[in-house]
Amino acid sequence: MKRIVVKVESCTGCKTCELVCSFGHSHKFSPSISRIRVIKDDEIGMDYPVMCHQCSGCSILSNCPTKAVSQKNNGVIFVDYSKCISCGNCVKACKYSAIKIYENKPIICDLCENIPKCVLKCPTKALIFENANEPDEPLIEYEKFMRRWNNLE
Amino acid sequence: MNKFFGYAGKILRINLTTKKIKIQKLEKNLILNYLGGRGFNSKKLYDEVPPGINPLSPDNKIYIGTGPLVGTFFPTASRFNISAKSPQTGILGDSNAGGHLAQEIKYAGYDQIVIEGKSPQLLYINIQDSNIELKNGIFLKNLDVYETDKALKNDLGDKSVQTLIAGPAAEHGVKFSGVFTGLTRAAARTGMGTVLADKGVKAITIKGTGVIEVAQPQKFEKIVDEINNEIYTHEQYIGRRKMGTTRILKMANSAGFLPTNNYNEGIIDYVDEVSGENLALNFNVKNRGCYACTIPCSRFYMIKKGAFKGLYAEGPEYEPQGSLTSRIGNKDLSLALKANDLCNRLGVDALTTSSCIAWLMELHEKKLISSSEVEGLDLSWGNQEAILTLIKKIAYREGFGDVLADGTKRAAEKLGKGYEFTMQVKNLDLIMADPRGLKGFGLGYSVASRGGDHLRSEPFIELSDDPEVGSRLFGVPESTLRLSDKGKGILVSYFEDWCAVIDSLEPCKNIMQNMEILTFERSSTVIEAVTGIKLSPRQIRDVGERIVNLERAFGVREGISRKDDYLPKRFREEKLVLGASSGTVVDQDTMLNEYYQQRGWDLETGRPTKQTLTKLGLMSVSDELIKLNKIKNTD
Repeated sequence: MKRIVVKVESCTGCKTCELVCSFGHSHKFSPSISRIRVIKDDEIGMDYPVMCHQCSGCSILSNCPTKAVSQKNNGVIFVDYSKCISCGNCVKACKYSAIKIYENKPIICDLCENIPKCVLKCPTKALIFENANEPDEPLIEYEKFMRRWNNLE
Repeated sequence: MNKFFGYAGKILRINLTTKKIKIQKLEKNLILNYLGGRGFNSKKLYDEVPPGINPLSPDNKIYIGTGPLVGTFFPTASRFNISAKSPQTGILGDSNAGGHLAQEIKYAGYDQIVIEGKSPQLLYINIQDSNIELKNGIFLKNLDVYETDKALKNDLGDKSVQTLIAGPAAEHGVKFSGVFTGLTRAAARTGMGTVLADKGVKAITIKGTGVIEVAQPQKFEKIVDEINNEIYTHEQYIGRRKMGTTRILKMANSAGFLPTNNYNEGIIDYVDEVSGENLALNFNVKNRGCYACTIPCSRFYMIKKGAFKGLYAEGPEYEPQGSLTSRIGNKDLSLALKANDLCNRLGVDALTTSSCIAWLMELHEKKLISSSEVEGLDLSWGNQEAILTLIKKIAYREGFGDVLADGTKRAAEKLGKGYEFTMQVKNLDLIMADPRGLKGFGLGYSVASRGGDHLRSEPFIELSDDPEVGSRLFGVPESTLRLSDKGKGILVSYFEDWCAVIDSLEPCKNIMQNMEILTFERSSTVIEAVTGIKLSPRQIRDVGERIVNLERAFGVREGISRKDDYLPKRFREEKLVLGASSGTVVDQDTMLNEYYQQRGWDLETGRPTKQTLTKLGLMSVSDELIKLNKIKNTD
């Protein structure tokens, strides 16, 4: 299945992805509207984009009390906002912390109808849309990267 | 609500004496005349901070301003200006930085933050949208920038908050302490950290969740796509990606204007060791970027061997890299990285700090100072122990550091010697380009409203050394010949106006100006798409000219005139012996005359005339300067 894959060594933390996502969905700019977010730690130079990975058996499906969420064939999580009661269970259930609440409702990556804008506009091609397995949990992957630095000698 | 596209629409005013917090509406007139960022700051500073006040008193005010492009995906729109009356220079203080702070100010709902008065207890200001808190900061006392960042994030329980921090040097009253964001992003020049700490503010934390909207979304997206294509295909793109501004170091050496041993020479024979290329090849581990930057040119390094093995951080840029190598005769890049890291942690301007060290090393070389006067330090060029010890002594005002902590000019006055070797204009220590090899830059340092610095004009086009460029732009072929003293008035005034506009819109000058992307013409289209306001290229240039004149008027009010616009004697009288800029000195008077003429300023005094101020709509400024007997009341 095609997923957004993070090339962590290329991400510079510029957050262009967040801005493109926000603008693409609303014609407005705000990190609050973005479905992708970059976790940063300036001391160790960490930049790590986090978004929905369309996991098979996504854990929020079983955690939604009103069955407002469903998963489409391409893995995208669909929220039926007419059923959503804004309980926030989905935010807690996602192991990637990829769900955000905006104006009281969850917003989740929708892959921009299979042409993700963040991938198109990433200045360093740190995001790639390709066939891939579900990734490790984000910070574990980053730790691997850090270890590689230390092995550079 | 009165809504502006591109702008957040509000000014946040915090009075530390009364603990009162006011939120004011942004006025359209301010936008039309000053655009944002530096323009807003300079205007308010002129209006609200009267002449003669002590910069380190409750009368001084701090302005943190950002621009209309910030918060959108306009590439590189990530910057803010911080301004106040400077404790280092006694005139307009102002510094600009990137990173990830500026957009939070906008998302929180503000275009400018004003800090007034003084708190008796150390505090930090926490801004979360419209929720503003003055929080106890006693636990932050004397913590370095890194420690403060960590302590703030723990205190708030939020690692994603952005911080703006004054280091321990600021708390010790070192006159050239900066403010730092994202740990290593410094608004380092003119002592803005010193003012912040004097007000009892150790730091500002900020997080915004709001929205920025633009007037013409589709058109704006199209312009941004065009500009990004220009960036990606620009001849400087790869070099900037790999080296950022450190790519300049080797270039400066080849052209013979790399300040060496306190500007005694213009070239080094160890350039490969201290170059941006060496940094990129042997130290860098990844690129990092400011907000919304599509180049990103910042780099994260790690020292992999030697005495400083294991040190890692973001940076440095050309100025500190050059300052902590050739300027002080240091051949060891690892030592420069260590010294720069120390400056960042302690919160001092690496440029002025290195200038103090270079000055002292020259005094030592000329046998004008004995080692017993400096607590036994060996002041030979490049000495590791002296460099690292002096940085710490300056930051804490320990021993001889106390003499240096007010900058080189005051240090020379205190010692009663060495004035002619202080490399400063208006008490701001110079940057890393010898004006004998770049005459337009030299004129820029002479007249810059904040003192000896290049970022008020940066007429980079001089580096082309191509008379055809000068003919095309200004009809003056000499203007773009780097060793020519002629034609520089027209060159520098043009670039000053341009820089003032860039500093007010708040994208990155390195990209938008040096790569010739955000011209006056382009700005006109961009401003309209973002704000809906139509301004012609000429009107936009007028904004730049207005800002430059107003800032000069701030200086004039504090006593600045032509006599203060001279470079150190070395550049006017001594020729460089080696390299591609040897055999020439700066003809200061020719350049100043041309410049004042271009600006419509009085040739004798170097002050704006009534006519010029009136033309720019600065009638009240003109009236005040006439009343103060600074300018003549003639039509």
